[in-house]
Amino acid sequence: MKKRHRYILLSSVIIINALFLAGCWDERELDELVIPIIIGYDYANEEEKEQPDDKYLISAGFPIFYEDTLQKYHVDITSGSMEGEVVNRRNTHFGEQLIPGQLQVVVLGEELISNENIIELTDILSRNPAVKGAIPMAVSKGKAADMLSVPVKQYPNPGIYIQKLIKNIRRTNFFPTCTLFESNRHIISNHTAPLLPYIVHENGNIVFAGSCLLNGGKRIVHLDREKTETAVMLRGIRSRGMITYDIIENNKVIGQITFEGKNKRKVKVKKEGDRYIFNILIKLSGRLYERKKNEPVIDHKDFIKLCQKSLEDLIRKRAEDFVTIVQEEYGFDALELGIEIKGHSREKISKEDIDRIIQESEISVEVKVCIDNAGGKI
Amino acid sequence: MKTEMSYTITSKQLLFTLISCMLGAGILSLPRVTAEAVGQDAWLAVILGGIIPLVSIWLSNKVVSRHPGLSFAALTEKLAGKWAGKLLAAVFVTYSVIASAAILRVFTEVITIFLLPNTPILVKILLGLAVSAYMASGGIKVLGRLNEFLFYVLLPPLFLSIPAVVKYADLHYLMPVLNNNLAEYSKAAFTTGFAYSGFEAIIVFAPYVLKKKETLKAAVLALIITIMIYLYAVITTVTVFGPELTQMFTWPTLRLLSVTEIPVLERIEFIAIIAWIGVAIRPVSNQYFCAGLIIKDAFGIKSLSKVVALLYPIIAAIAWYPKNIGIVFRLSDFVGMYSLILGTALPLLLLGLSLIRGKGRARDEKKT
Repeated sequence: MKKRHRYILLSSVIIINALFLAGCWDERELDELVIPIIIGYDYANEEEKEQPDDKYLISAGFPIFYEDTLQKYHVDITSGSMEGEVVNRRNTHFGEQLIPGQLQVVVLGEELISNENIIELTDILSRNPAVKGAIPMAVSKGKAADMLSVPVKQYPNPGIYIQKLIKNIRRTNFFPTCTLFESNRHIISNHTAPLLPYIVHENGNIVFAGSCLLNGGKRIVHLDREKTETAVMLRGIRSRGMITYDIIENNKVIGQITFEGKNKRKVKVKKEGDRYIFNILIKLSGRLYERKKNEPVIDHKDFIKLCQKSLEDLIRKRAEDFVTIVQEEYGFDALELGIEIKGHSREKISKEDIDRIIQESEISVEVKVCIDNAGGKI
Repeated sequence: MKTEMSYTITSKQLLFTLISCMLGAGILSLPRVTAEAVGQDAWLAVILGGIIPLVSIWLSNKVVSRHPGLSFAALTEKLAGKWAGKLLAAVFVTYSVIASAAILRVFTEVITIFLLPNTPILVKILLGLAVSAYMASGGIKVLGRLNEFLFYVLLPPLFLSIPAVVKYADLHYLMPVLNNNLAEYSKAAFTTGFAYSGFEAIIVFAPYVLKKKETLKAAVLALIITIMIYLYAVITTVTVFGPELTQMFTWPTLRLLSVTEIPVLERIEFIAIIAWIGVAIRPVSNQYFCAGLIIKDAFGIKSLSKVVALLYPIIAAIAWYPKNIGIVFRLSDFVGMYSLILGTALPLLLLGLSLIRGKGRARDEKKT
């Protein structure tokens, strides 16, 4: 009897499960999906507005999966007063369901990000669990919508091109990458300005042209290539790149080499009364990649040491100059020291406090370069 | 109403059952709750939150060991009398039913957000509860084995967060240490209540342990393992997001998995959720079983399955009742508080009664 009851119960469970199969409600036909891989945020011009109250212009790049189509990639540009409205209006252009889970890159128009908070702009993405926190972001010169439509020959579509470009830049250059999660963490937890890569469209290519600091999530400060490299090293954004520089001995240039390697940083914090004293140690390690004066390295006993010292001097000079600009000109945390300040303070620290501390504190920079080898040649 | 041999579990199964009772939906929101209460000292709140369950476990074991072989319903009737005993049992049943419903609803909410947004809540509740009902109707032995097996399902998703930790964790987010006052720590210890709710089930499960001497050791070990798992979840989440950003996510533990991509697997959070379903259904089943078993014993009903079937619509209705996530969290907080009060007050009351009755009996024996 008991066994029979259990069989009845088991059968009921199976029948209920079969009847209420969740797929009934959440089933999605693969043929009926549109998958944006890149989106761009801009302000809408008067002629681009669908309604007079519209403010934003959001462009989305979709790969087309239908076989017999003229185009394999489509950029949809829609305006709205909020991003949710844009998404809603976009749904009137497509019969298919929009799946944001495969979104790979977010490009922010320069004008928009100079005036609007990145946290608010990307709220729709952070709120959606289908969207990964690891999406890389970049600021574009001019409109992001134009960037999404750049014709590319060597890639299936601009979305994939920009994604590859942004994702891999840290492996080849001392350039920053900043994901959705990282920008949120910088602003909310650290009160630090996120450092986003800055891309421009030049001669048919999309290229990096430095980076942007977003103070308070919006006010933009452009950094050129050299400053970007310095900021990356000072902030401790781990990357790998090359630096070409002069070898100097007794104030005389004796040659030129290219260093290839990686960076990391170590910060020491001391507090004297209310004053903070920071010591940022930048460590570079790598190899001698190229030498202009092509003679064996053994021609100079301390050549490697000299290469290291020359690079240390160069990076220290650049870093000290950048620190001075940060303290005197920017006046906000562009060095990712907010986390250190908060960790060393027992009082509740606001963004204003961190900005003040950055301006008033003593920040010294040390650089240590370690050239492990000289490649395949002595 | 004495415990039968067919209704026995090993101390190892008790250990996994108690872990299962505590570890479920709470782990997903715990970093947020603790970070809201004490910021960077969230990890300390997890440890402090374990003190009340520890006291409760000791008290419950003391009561049960004084009256070996008696089920919870029999114990309350013996110590408090027939009607008062039934009332105490009813209080526990009410808690178990509400706790089961609350955990089920939180479980459903997570599934709604991450996996099945369009499937009606009621359908998910009915399906989840059907699985729990089947597990609960299997009896304590089946439940003990399932709890042990499903515990090992929890381990892989925990390790999935390691890439995020290696890449992004920063210990500065845990500094400065001990930067809150005593009142804030006490409040934080209470707010972790929901995460630990389920520990009070020891009073129901302990009478069925084969080797009584090992009960306390197994229960304390269960609590320590739960604390360690919670500490791992809280420390990893806070060191990656920072205390401020942690507070902004509804389910920060899951969000942690979305900050990195693992080659080939890509979106690891969805793999984790699928494994977590097996983990989160256990406390629902355990509480469901507790309620069913107490009713069965208190009213002398022979079939547990009948009681389980009777409770099904009640738990489903309570789980369905909250209209939004705010009410779901309020219900969870209520269960957490109920659990702390019930978990300490009930064994304390029973121990008091047991001591009084013990003294009275000793006096009678002396007279005769």
